[in-house]
Amino acid sequence: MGLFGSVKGKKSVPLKSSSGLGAGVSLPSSEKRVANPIPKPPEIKKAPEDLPKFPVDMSGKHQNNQNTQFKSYNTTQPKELPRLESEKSFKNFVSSDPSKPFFPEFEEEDSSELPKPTPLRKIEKDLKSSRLFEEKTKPIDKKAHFELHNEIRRPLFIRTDQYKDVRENTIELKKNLEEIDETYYRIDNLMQEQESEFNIFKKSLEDIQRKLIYVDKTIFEKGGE
Amino acid sequence: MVEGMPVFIKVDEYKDIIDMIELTQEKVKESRALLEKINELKAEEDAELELWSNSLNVVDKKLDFIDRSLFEPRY
Repeated sequence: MGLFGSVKGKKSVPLKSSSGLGAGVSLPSSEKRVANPIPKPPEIKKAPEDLPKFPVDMSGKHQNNQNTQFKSYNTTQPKELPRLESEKSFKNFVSSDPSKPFFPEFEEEDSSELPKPTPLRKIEKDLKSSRLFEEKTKPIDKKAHFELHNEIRRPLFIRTDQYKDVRENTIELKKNLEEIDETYYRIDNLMQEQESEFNIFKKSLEDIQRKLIYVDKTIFEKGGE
Repeated sequence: MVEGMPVFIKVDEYKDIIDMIELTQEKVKESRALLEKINELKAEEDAELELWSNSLNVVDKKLDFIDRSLFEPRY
């Protein structure tokens, strides 16, 4: 009738492996196994003579049986090979006492010449204190309008709306200063000319004075004689 | 530079600029004082030059008198 109707009349097939167990497969029952027991192995009445007898009794002690037929192997230890120079340093790394852990033995160096390391925390502390000292000893502008800015640690920007005018004025100021510089050089040249004229005037005055003295001497000293 | 964009000046640079402007203003004041001093000296110089000119005129007149007195023939 149904889907399993066709399966009903068929015999169950035993599976070869356990991995492929299906729902519709029936295993052989335990009663059938008892009906077909496993055959016992044949009893050995006598041990074969060619096998060697063990030299151990029940107490576990070795028996000194000379009739044992074990094959003897050559167990002579190989001769110790001479060590290389490079291998000699390895002795330091091998402990003579196997119970002790293997720690290499190093030769003690003369540490008196080497400076003792400073603790890292101390260095950081020193650096921090020096930075604080530099910040504290930094010269501060005492002007009133700068005191507000000194309190601010972050960079402060000021907006300039008249930047263009300021820039133009600065350029004009530069030109004016150049003109003032040229005027100064012109005045300096005039002063030098004036000085040279004064020197000429001084010489002419001296000349006039000498001539007047000569005239004075010629007229009045000769006339008085 | 883009027109209409706001321009910001850093405070440290602003301080430097303000200091520099103050120094320049002080120098301009000093220059103005020096120019006034030079003007005063120039006025004194002008006065001395005026005196010099007057003295020269006096000397010239006296020399003319001497010249006329000594070398002009009297009939």
